Amino acid sequence: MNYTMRKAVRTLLPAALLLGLGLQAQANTLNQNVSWTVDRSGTSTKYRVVAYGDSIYAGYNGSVSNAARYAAPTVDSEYLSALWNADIESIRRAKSGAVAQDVYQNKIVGERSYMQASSTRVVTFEMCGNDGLQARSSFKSQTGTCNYSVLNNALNSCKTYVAAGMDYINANAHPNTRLKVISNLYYPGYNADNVQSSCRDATTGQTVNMRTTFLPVLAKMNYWMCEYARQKGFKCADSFAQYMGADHDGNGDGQIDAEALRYVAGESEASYVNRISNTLRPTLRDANFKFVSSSTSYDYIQSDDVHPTYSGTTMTAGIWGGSSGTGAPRYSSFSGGKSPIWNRFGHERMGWALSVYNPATP
Amino acid sequence: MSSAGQQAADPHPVVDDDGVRWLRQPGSANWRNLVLLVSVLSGFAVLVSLLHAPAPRTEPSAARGLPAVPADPPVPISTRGPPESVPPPVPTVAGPEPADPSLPPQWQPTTATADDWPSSDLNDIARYISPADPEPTAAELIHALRQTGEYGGIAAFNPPGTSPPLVGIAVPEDFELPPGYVRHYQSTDDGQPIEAILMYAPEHRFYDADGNEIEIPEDRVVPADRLPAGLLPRAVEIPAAD
Repeated sequence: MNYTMRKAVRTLLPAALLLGLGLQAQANTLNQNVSWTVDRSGTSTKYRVVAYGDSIYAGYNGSVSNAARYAAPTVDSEYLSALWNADIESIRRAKSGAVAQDVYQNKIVGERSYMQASSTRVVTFEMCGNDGLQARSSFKSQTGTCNYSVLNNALNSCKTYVAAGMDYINANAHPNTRLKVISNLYYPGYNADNVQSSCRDATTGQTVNMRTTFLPVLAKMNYWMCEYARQKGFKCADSFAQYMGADHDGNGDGQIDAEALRYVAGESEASYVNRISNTLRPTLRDANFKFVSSSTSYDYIQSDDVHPTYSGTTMTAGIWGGSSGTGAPRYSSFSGGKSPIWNRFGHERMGWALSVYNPATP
Repeated sequence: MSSAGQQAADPHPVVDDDGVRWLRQPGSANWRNLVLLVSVLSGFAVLVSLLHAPAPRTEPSAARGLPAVPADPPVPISTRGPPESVPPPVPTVAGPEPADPSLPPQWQPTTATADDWPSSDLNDIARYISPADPEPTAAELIHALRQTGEYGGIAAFNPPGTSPPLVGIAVPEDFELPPGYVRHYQSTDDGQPIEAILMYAPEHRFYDADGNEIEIPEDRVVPADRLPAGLLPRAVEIPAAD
């Protein structure tokens, strides 16, 4: 196949090119890398926050060529800029569609140089979302007898590469790093999954509720993200609790619903999973309706019912490459450690959840 | 990281009000209707097969150890990922990628890092799209991948618009909500806030003058003919994409 013919086909039949993707190399992910420096006035000292992840940390917004400027890690960088009175370079090395193994291998390991700069102070990562999405898609398409192995495989892979990612960061991030933090996963499509399967359980012979089936698996993933964090010197931003529980006491148990959902250091997997899947199940809400009070709610999820909402503009990131830029912070002071929009968008909430662990000094 | 690897580098970058230095991207044409793709699918099967590049000389990462895409109608992903007993992963880093003779000179990868365009990552869709190609929407890309039988990666995403913003009656910020109502805020996929709409609070029950429970809509959006006193029936407008 000569170049002339390939060029003609690509120009005249772009759809055929995409057909070719599936046959050539199973290319199904998209690197979306962004660097944004929060440029604080009156200082030239600059520190770095490095974020590795998939489409969540990428700031994916339903475009293949751009992504949100203020995705969660960059939101956190804005908080850090105010806390340290310094410029903060937010570097996001992300790959939309990547499973945990891919994020580990091609981002954390393959692009480790970013966290090896002496200016690095914070390293954060998130993963496993695509393991979950793919397992969910696979399970939903099953007929006959339900095969739960796809869910267990996703869980095991998640655990393996979360642990490996933490070990690798511990061994390779610059010694100046002051904070290592993972974000766990919210449940995208929580309401949409409240349907019956096509397959039938081997024991009961009945179809199963998708949400009831998936929730414990996600809970186990999230448990091990936070538990490995505890074991390996990381902090764990509990995005599941932040997104899925209300910021008021909806069930009258004396606790703010979102607080009650949080991982408790030292609890067992069984305890955590039981709390999430059973005891506190009635307090869970789809993050399309995040209640910040009993009379106010915000939509934390974009129209694809998967990715977090965000505020503001976008940057080039995707099929035409990535981009970098610099600009003044949107907010320069934070009352009570919170920006005016801290709870109004998914990425703002996740970024705030990261920021609570920011060390007082660099 | 700049996209300096692109062919059509802009010698006169624009600096916007935020101090961001923008490199202009090649212009993109409107994406063709994929109905044309479906209708000529079989006719181009042979042509597409001619695009098949030589197999890569190395497999840089086990991340791409996915089953081959079947030629028949899409089959669901059966099992992907490692078995339950997973050996400890060994970090590997790909060496410099050798030249691919099937690619034109300007598309040859020059280094092994992900900073360069075109991407050296074999599983990056960007690697297979040149500046001369029109830009697909995410929905088109997801659909096209699924048409090839690929349901992993971004093909596992829902397309935009799967759960669009709810349309309802605007609730001014200074309107005092009666019990049982909620002010719900949304935003567009391109980051624009949407004015709050009026919704019923979950689990709150409403009764008529006779004490009969009033059924509320499943989506909890308050219809224009059932507004609380003092609220004007003004529909919220969803901002157009920037």
